[in-house]
Amino acid sequence: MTGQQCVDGIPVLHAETSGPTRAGLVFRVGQADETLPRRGITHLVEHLALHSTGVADYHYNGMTGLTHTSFVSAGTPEQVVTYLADVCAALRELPVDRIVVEKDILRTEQIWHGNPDGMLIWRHGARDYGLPEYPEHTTALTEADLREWVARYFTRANAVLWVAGESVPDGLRLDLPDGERRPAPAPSSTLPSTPAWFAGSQPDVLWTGLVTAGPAGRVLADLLGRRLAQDLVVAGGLASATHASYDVLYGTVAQLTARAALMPDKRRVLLGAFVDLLASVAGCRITDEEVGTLVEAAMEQTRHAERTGRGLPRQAERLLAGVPLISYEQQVAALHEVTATDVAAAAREAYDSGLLRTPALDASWTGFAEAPWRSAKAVTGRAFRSKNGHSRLIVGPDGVTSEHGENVGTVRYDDCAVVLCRADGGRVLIGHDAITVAAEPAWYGDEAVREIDARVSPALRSDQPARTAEQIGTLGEPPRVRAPLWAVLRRDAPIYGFVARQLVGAAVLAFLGAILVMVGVTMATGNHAYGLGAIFVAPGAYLLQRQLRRMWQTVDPLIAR
Amino acid sequence: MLDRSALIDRVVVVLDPRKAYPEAAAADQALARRDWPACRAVLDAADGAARTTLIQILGERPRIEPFLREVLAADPSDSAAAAVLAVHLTRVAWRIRSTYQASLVTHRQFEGFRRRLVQADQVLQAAISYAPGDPAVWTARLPVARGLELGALESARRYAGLAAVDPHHLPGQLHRLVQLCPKWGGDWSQVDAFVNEAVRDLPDGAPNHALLAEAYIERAVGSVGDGHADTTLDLQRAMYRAAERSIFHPEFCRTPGWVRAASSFALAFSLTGDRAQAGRAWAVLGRYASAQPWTYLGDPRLAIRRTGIGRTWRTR
Repeated sequence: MTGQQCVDGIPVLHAETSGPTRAGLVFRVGQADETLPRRGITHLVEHLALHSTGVADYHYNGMTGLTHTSFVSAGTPEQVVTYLADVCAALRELPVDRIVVEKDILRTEQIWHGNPDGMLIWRHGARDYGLPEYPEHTTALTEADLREWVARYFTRANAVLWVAGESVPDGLRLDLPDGERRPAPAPSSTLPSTPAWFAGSQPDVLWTGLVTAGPAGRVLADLLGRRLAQDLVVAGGLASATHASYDVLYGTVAQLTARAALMPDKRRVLLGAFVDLLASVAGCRITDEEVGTLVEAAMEQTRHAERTGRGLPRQAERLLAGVPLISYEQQVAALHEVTATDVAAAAREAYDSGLLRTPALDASWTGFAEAPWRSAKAVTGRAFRSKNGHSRLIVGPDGVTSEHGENVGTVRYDDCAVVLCRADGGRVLIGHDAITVAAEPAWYGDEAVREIDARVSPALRSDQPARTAEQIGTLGEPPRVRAPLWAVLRRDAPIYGFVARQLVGAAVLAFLGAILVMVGVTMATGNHAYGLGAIFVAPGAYLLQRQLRRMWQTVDPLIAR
Repeated sequence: MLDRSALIDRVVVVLDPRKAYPEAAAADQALARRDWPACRAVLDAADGAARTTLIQILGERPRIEPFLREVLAADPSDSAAAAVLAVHLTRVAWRIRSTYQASLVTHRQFEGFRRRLVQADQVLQAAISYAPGDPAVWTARLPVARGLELGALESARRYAGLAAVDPHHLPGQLHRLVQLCPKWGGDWSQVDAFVNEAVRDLPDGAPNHALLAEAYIERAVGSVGDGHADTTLDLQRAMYRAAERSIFHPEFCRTPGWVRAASSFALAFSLTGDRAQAGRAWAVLGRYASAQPWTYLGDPRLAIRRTGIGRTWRTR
């Protein structure tokens, strides 16, 4: 049973449950709202808001997600009221004296987080939904930045409270400043076409696809999980562990994730089996019985969520996104109506928008498009050659390009996400498409860095500490993707020699045949020596057609159609 | 008087499988008329290996890609159409690739070759999602994996997919055998293990015994000049026994695919130099022969004329 009321202008969702009272204050702001120079600002605000609570004898926590930030606690109704009042007070008046300490704590927390998947960056680039995979840059954030951020997002109009307990606690106050509702940003995409793939460095196969949020997508995730386990682990013995999940990204778009961890030495075969499995799910290998079983399980989960109030945070997010709330009864009813056709449609949608990460393998044979890893064009401008002569840095009025063999990276100033400015003089430009250009004075000289500094907008700068010479490193030999012209010519020389010999030989003999035909025709028409003429024409014509055919057979396979 | 048909039988080798199998001719004519239901009816009437053989023959017909794409667009679940299209694309790919020897293949040709194979694999992938139990589709995936050089493990996975549907599918087994040979990254012990496993517990008259002959041919042609006589002796003995139980057995059934099986034995016996035994194989074949495996020795007609000892016109 979910009820809705209002406290201090903030909607409150309540579900009647037994046990301690649990409550969560959810704001519609997350990592996707940040920009790369301000990466981590939401997390920092969350830490500052919780600082005053300190060591409490009840459970509480703060969570900064992709599109939402929440403050949750569990305890007696009085404790919950105190906690929420503390959080609101801290948000109204940030404990600015704590900024330096909390920044250090965040840096330590960051070390704990492992390597990100890279999936979000490859799909969305260095903005909105790609940002969570970039490290936080909180060092340069000022008090004014934080105040501005709080005034924009942590407001009465941009919050929803959920409470799971006997009742909404008495004396509850949520004293927050006025503001307006901030909708989640629309996701950007760096993929020119999907389904796409890229070669990752981790030893597993990972895939994400986008579907319309709804019961069919949820059932599809369960189906995918079962198929992965069945086909790859049990039947194939190819993967050691598999996993599939369904997460709502924002509003009505949900993301399906499928992952399979490798058995050693089976990279290639796992990739093949994985791609086959995706295609088979996106095809029509879905039966009504299978869907029926999964729907039963999903309905049971929904009922369980109702009894424990675990669905409340998701309901709060729906309310913030402006999506109409649906009751548990409606959810169960919607699940009940899911058919194999609905799941197949969702599977098709997910497959078509899919992004696949391979364990460092080429996947062009799957027919998926290769996700772009370099820029198509270089800018024009002043060129700086690297000291070892292998690379060039071009600094122009519109942007910067680095050329390292075939690896061309271009970041335009009007499409630049951040310029990391090291105290040692190094500059790293990251474009919105996640292409990175490094301008190291150690490689290209100080002049290049000065030109870049003169052109980039100060708002994009993010100051970073200096590094040691080892950390800067050196430019290696450029990777050669395509063979140079002379190598191609030398490699193909036998082909052209062979073709030329064939053609010349055939042409000479065809010419001979043509002469024979002409002589024969002249004899026949001029001298009326028809018999003699025929003796010349017959072998001549035969020779001619044989040689013409030979010429065609030589040329034909070269024209790859 | 001269018996004309006997003379033709003696001199002419018919390599065209459409002449050997009336079903193939009917299906091929239907495909030429762009009459898919009629073509499909012939395919549906055949079963297992015979159907796969017919599909492989149909794929040879030129310029059928647009038509088959239309058929598939109308009914994506038609795995027979998908298999024919994929076989066709694979043939086109190999034609682009193999007219010249490997060192004479240009970059552009190679791109074209790869593109066709990728297309074929996508068609087959979609077909498998609709009909996971169609052996013709699984069979067609094997040469695609070989062409794309997806590696031994992926190839084994695909063969496992076929074997799960039909463990004795001769057209697929022939592809598997080639993949296991050293020229494609396998070795002879794998070939022996595979063949021995495949011919165990076969019924009398089954064409699958020809796998032994194929293995012998691969050895004889593939390892010129090294001392392999001892190791192949066992294989030869097994091959002789297998021929008695296969093409020389009264229960040997002339369903589509039989010409290939008998041709394999004929070539294998020719390579051993056993004129009489080869002659018996040719008596089974009559005027028919299949281009494979004779293409190992170059142009199949020339190869049959040169090495096809035991054929009637040579012995008389």
